[in-house]
Amino acid sequence: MDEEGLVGRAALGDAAAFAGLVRQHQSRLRGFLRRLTRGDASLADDLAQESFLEAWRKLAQFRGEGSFAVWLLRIAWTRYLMEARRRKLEPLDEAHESGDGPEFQIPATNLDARLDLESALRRLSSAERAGLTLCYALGYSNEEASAILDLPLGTLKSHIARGRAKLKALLGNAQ
Amino acid sequence: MNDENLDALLRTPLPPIVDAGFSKAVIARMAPASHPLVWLEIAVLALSALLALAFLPFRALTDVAVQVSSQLANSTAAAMACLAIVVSVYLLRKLETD
Repeated sequence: MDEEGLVGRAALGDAAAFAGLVRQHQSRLRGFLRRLTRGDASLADDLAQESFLEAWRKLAQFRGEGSFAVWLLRIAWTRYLMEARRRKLEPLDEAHESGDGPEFQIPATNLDARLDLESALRRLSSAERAGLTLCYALGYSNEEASAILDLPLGTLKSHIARGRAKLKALLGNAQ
Repeated sequence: MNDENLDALLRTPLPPIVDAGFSKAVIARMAPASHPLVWLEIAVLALSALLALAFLPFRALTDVAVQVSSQLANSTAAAMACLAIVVSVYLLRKLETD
């Protein structure tokens, strides 16, 4: 059954259909949340679980204007922001917006490039990390990403540009 | 690092995460959702049953019902058909829950 069919049946209370949606989207959602939580897999999975449960409760409100994935990611982003405020995660982001140079040495081999990127991404603000992950790694359009993050398009583009500039500085110094 | 290299690096898809019981944990915590349409179906069925009770010519139907039911009770084909329906429904439900 296609995603639209599963969403339709799940909205009528079909738990088996919703289970299909969970299996279909769990990897993407957990990956996105792991990026946001700077690799804290346990916290990311807790947030992913809560996001799915909220989606199940509110599925009747899903009007199908965008894709189910976009709607789900928006729920996850809101959950993450609430948790970040509760745990006061944001000050760590702000501390790295001062423009200080990188505090770690980055090996120049391609093999390590991914790990370097993950380390460098942790230095960005949540919105920058989220914007870059959505638009690059997950392949969403700017419009979809702005809907997920509930940001005006211009603000999203600014976050992405700022994030890219920071990454270039962080990753470029090692080469 | 130039823009092209950074773009290529950023476009690398997120590594897939093995389910490893995650979906089951979510499903175990799911509360039964309210089903407005199911309640509507029940209401329509109940109303239809009431109307049937009120207006059907039961006396005229009784003789026919007795005749048909005695024929069905002695019919091997009808018994086999009922058994096939029960087994099919059971298997379908099992497939859905798995």
